[in-house]
Amino acid sequence: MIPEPSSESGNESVENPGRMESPERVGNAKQVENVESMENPGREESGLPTAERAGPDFANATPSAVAVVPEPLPFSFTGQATPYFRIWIVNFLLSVVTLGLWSPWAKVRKRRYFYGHTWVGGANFEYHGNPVAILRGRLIAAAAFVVYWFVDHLLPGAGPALLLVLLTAAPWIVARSLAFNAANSSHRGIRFGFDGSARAVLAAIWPLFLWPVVLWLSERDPLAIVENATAFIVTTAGLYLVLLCVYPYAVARVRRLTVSHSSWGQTRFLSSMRTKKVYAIYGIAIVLGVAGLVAMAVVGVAGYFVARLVPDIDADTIGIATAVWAGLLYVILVIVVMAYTRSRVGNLVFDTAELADLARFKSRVSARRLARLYAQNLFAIMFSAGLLIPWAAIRVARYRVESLSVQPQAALDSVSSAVTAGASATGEELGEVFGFDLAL
Amino acid sequence: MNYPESGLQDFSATWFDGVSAQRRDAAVAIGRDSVQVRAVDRVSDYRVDTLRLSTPVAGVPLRIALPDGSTLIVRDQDEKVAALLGQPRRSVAYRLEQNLPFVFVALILLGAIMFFAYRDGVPWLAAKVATRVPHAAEAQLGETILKALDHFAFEKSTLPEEKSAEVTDAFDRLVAAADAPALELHLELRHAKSFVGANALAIPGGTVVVTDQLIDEVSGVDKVAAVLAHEIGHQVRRHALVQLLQGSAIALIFGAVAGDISGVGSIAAAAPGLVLRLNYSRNAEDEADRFAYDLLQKTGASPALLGDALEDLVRSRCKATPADAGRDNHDDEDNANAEERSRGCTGKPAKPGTRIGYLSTHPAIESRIANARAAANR
Repeated sequence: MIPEPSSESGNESVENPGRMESPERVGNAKQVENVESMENPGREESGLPTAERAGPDFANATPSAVAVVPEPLPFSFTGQATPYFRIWIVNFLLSVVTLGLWSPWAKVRKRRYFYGHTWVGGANFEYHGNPVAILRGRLIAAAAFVVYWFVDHLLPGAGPALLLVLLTAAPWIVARSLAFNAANSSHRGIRFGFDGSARAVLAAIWPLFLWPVVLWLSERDPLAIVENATAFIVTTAGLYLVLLCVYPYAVARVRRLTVSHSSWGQTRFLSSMRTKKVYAIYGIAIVLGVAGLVAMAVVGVAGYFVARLVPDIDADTIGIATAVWAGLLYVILVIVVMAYTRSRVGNLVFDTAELADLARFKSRVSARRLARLYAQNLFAIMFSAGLLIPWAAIRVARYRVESLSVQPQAALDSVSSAVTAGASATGEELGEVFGFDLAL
Repeated sequence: MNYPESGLQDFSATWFDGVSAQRRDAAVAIGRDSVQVRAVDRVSDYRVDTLRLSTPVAGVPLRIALPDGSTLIVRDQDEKVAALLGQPRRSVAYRLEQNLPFVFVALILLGAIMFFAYRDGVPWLAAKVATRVPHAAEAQLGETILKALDHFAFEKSTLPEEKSAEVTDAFDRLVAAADAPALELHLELRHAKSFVGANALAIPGGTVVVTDQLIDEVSGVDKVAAVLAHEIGHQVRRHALVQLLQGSAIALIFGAVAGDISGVGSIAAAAPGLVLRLNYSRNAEDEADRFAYDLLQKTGASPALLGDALEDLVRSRCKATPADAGRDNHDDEDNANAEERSRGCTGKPAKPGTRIGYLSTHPAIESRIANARAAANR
């Protein structure tokens, strides 16, 4: 029971199977290699907070790992649509018949499926979230939502004020959520951690507090637009513009925060992400968005002129046709912008992340492929009445996981033994009170 | 390092010590009430009853937590290993997931639950909640809406004094018959700007607005009263609030279903949600019509008057320029007008009961007219 001094024994012992006379063991080791060579990596699309996505791995698993110059290790994803469909549908049913009380258990099972099927260096990730803690968090959130709903719908003007109140709790909730998720995730028997404080989160997300101000101004006095249209439009447009300008700043800070306050055991993650790179990404996204809006406007104007100039045509038909085309363009616009920003920001976050002195990451998600994936998923989901949601989730997870690799900075033996468990709180202790679980 | 005595069963596992991230391949031998975990550089013994096995998830290796903080990952034959350790993997959720017939049952059950929740559950719950919200709660919302409409859509009523008095009297008689003391019903007359035209609205909080144009186009106060009865129906049944609640419930359900897939999934979920919501507003129109039939009968009038009023509106709309469209609407969306207009004016009315189904905000006007007359003959 007393732990002996440790040494990396994995691969050596594979090479000496006779030592333990265990044929299964040899088979086992082979399987490990297969998993690695067959697949590339991925992770649940947004289910994983950046912290953990950024956080990963090592390994002494492949034979090449013994070599002095370590090879990059690809992530692989072994989840499949059919088994996941079973989990999804059964837990969905259980959640429905229990009026949502089962939903934290459903969440944990689904998450365990995605984490458990994400591999790197011959080891998978694990999720340990306690459903009871998540249930507590959800009940609180549900109560807050009900209050907010009634106030927002019945007392115009009060909504933004209440939103502001809820937002003051946001930094704390975000910090708790990140800490909960990180502390309940592990790899190679070592838990991840997040030690960002509510104050640090606030310092990152404060520009988003402009949002309720914008809402306030546009909702509080619905008559403002009539009474002084120009002033109203200028103010509102100005505020949206400011919001647009600070948004990439907030994104950069939040991403940097999640990475640089995360750790794997006692080893910290570092981020060298530059804010201006995030601005560059959103700059192009805005150009794409404007191009899309222009295309929609062109369709609208064309529809108008067709209706005016072609006498025999029914105006309603043209109206519907115009609306359908504009709607289609809008969907394409959303998909393209979303795929672009997500792939580029995701790649940037990983490429600038580092597990202090031990490993670096590389993410190669292509905006084009992600957009195609989103579009296919959208149609599949709509035409299957939602039944292909599990299939879509698995596909996105596989693509994203398998676009990821980790580059150890030293021989794997030394890397993996350098990572040691944190002395502080474990996930169980942290997660016991409330399990806020936001997808960030 | 000799093997434990013969007769013990063993299996292979990956061993993480919980102290560092290094991996060990281990052989685990199971004894009567202890297990021995052996790696090249260390050997540990544990009592079997101190082992904690993870609940199974399809395809995810069995994870055994050992009391010293280390873990064993078992990738092969984990079921057998769990049984050998005397802790067979009994998770209800896992068993149901692995049971193919149950998966099909779940599929069918979910379909049925969703259908009934949509058709009966959500409307029932929304009506229950709505009737428990005090009317006063809606008053502020209603005031804001009316103020905005006064700026955008309405001007002061230009109706002759005696005409407006007639309409107001008719409204008061209906209110008396409706017997809804908690609801402060009152009538507002407005002259509509041209893009609104003939219209009547139920505004949250108890205000009914009717436009001069509607009173002109519908010949006779009796028929105007029928339209007002329909609007009172919206008020008494709390349709504005009910529809807000229904819309939010649908959005929540779709959000929960699509929760798995971020981003684009939510668009896929939003579109059908919107369509389903439109069907609710059609149901609200039907319900308000039925309420109107009863209310008219209580005041000694015929439900057929509502049909006549709608017919008057269709007729005058056919004569009017298309821009003068507008009919009866209990809130500020009236997408179906254009479609109804063209149908009412083509000379070949749609077959009875023809609806463009879930896409129509309002029931086909012909069927509403027919229903009103059928109600009169009952």
